Amino acid sequence: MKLWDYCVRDDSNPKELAGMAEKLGWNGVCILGDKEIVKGRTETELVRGLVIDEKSPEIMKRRVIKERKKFGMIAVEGRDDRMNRVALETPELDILLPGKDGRIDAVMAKLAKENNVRIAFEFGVLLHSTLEERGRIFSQMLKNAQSVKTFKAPFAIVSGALSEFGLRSPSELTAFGKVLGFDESEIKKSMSGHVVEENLKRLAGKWIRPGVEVGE
Amino acid sequence: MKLKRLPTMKEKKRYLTFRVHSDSPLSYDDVKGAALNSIINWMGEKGFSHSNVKMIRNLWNSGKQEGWLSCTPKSVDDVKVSLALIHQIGDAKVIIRVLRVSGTIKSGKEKTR
Repeated sequence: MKLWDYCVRDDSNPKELAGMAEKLGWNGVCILGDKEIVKGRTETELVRGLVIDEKSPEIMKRRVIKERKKFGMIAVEGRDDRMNRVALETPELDILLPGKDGRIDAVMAKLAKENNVRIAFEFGVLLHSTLEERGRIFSQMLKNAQSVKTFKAPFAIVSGALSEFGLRSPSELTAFGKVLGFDESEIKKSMSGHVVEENLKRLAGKWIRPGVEVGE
Repeated sequence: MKLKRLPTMKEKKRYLTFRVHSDSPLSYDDVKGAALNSIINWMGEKGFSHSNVKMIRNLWNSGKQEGWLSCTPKSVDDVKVSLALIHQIGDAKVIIRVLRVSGTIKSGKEKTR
């Protein structure tokens, strides 16, 4: 099974990032940024994604629909409950980054499942927080994970790295997922990269609908 | 006098082999200090005492920057998360990556080959 990190926020030096990702054992990394990606001589695949950070949920929704056909991965930065709710109501969206204090309740988890929007659990948020904040953030993450598990909503364990040294190996992120209460098989499945592969097929124009593709 | 424990009362162990990725090589003491500090911060003093975490000095490889750590089987995931939460030792930015988890040092070394 391939292993993908869906959310890396550093697009300053993709070559070094790809080198480090390869060392850590990733098959692919999704870089959320504006710059074009120049890949070095590594086997790790790099895909360009977009993170949308808007104040208004309506503008965010319009941007997601507009940018859908340009990027391999689209993520939304959740600012508050309303933003999270509207993001989870948008089926064009791939992944929601709920942020430090993002709350996911039962209704949101059901919406996520209905619209197949992944709820991200970012390790980077914990990594770059102070000791005081860390307990509070992790406690909220545990509550969110409980809602996600109860309603079997899709989720993703991501590094959310701000630099190459913010990356963590699949084994560490799996341990993080297990501490949150997910099963190992679910976690591996969430990192498998089928979202990106499907999106890339759509971008290439080969995809018609689930199960129907244009042949060579 | 050496105190003996009944074999059935012995705690099981897991050995974690880890590698430190950083710009500059680090000493065993620096890595040990950072690792134990991070584990205490993440698991608390009570969790730390239950997990029976020990760093093994003899097995530190300064060339490869690889080390060994032992803990109880239940606490493996928490120890991994604690090590992943280290992003800086001194001035050096680091990633500590757990390479493998084994039941004995011998099997861990065999897996390395």
